[in-house]
Amino acid sequence: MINQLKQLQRIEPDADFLARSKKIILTASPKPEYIFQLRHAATHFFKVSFALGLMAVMLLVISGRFAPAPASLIASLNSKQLVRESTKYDFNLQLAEAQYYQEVDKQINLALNEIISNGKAGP
Amino acid sequence: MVKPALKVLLIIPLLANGYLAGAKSADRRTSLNNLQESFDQLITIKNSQLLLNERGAIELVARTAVFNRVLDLANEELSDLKKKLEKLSNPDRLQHLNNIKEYQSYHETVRGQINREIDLKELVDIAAKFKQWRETVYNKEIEKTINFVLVFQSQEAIKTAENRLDRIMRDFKIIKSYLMPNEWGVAEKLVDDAKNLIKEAKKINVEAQTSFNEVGIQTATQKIAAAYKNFIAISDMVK
Repeated sequence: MINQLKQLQRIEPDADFLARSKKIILTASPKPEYIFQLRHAATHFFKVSFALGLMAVMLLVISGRFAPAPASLIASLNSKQLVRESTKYDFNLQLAEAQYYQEVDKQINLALNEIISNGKAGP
Repeated sequence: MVKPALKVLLIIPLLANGYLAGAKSADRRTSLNNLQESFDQLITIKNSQLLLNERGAIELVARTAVFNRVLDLANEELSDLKKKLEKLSNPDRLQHLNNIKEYQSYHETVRGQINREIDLKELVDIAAKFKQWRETVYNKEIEKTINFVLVFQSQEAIKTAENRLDRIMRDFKIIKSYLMPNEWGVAEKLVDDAKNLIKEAKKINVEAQTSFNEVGIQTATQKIAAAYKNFIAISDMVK
């Protein structure tokens, strides 16, 4: 029994098996792919950053040349809206409305008097 | 020289045309013009050289036409007020809307009465009764409705101006960044003055809601208009 165990101690793998297994282990290892992905992402990140940076610089250059009037950048001071709101509630318009109703009443009164009265009209 | 009888014949189609135009009119100015036109025609007939028995029938037609135009114009006025009331959110508008519906219905009742076969005396009686109703009921109620509309239109103008002021105040740091430091004081004063004007307008408007004081309503609206002048002045400063 002891002799048999001593013989087993000297057992070595077949050279072919050894080479094949090594190859499988090396190709199956995640480490090289992980490193590759990380490198790829970093490169991609730098490329995108560069493109965005370039775009921002270009926008700054363009906006410097074609910048809209500052007031239009401030929504609360949008002049079109301000004018629209101020004319919507125009005092003169409201006064004109009130005067219109008075005018209507005056005309209706004159007309009713003429319907009611007999004889020749006017002075 | 056109004979009086011929004049009358020329007027008849005008009266008919006036009636149709009035019925179709959507514009209140058109209603007012139609009334003036039919009124002028009635005056022409009344002042014509026709004898009373000759002009009786045509004068009845002319008086009826004027009455129809009166009703058109009064209805136009009511529709106009109705539209304005419907735009308001105050619940009291419903009472005014109900009154308007009632007056429109009365106008149509009167229209039915005058467009039947009636004589001149009946027409005159209906017109006199209608005039009295306008003087004792209609005019007073309509004045209240007009003031109600003006007060609550003014209230909505104040709300809009307040929102505008809030937005300008929120943006004030950005606004200042567009101004020279020596302009900051001017802009701040414009905003402060606008704030006070809106505050005063609000106070007047609250008082006008119970008193329906026409002068008060106009003063409140003037203050809002002045506040907007300040907003526009700030807008001009940053341009």
